[in-house]
Amino acid sequence: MDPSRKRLFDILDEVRTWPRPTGPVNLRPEYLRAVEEIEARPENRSGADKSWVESTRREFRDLIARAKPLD
Amino acid sequence: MTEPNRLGALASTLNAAGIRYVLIGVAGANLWARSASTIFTTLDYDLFLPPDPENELAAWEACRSSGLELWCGDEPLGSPLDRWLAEQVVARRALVRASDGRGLDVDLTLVMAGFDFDTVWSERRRFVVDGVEVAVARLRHIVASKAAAGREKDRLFLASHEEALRQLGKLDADRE
Repeated sequence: MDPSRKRLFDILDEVRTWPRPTGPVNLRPEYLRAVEEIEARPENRSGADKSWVESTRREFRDLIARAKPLD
Repeated sequence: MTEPNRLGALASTLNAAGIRYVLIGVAGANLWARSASTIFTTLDYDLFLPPDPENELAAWEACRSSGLELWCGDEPLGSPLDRWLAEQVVARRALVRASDGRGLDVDLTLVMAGFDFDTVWSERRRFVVDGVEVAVARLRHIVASKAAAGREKDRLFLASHEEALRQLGKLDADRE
């Protein structure tokens, strides 16, 4: 294995052992205001056509499915 | 080749059967996206169902008729799919997964952290995907639920989503 790649994997293994925070998260007021603003936008009214979201998601998945390792 | 629209096909079946469900989770949040930059890759759909055995049973039958197999944990849900089994699943608030084994996984959940079904249902939005109406939870409910659950994947989503919105706001401000 390439030494730099091995070093990367070693780092990832080390990170995996770090304690991970769990439990409720406090959301920042700025974030919640941004969420409210998104909900109020005209393109998010009931009946809005969201076909583009699913087609984009499908394209992402298709791209990922075709990915191959470099070595 | 790009996969077909599976969400629309399933939603069409659920709608036709009069099943109450609300799309939540990352797939639900994606439908509120303003641009491709705020769409998150997810492998499954989370459908929040009411604690109603009749509705649960009808959802199972709709999934089966769409070619999906039903699982509870690592075990097939089994048969017969009947009212008694639905009552047991609802009483335990157990998660049932519907899967076609080829990448379409739908979690039928009776639990949404911090929320009861009626609240989420009464404030849902109806979006249209490829001509099919899909019931979607309010974005504020989705993020609040993820904050309440506080799992590692929820924290990652919330941090990424907030950053994506911040970048969008910055772009908007730059344009003005």
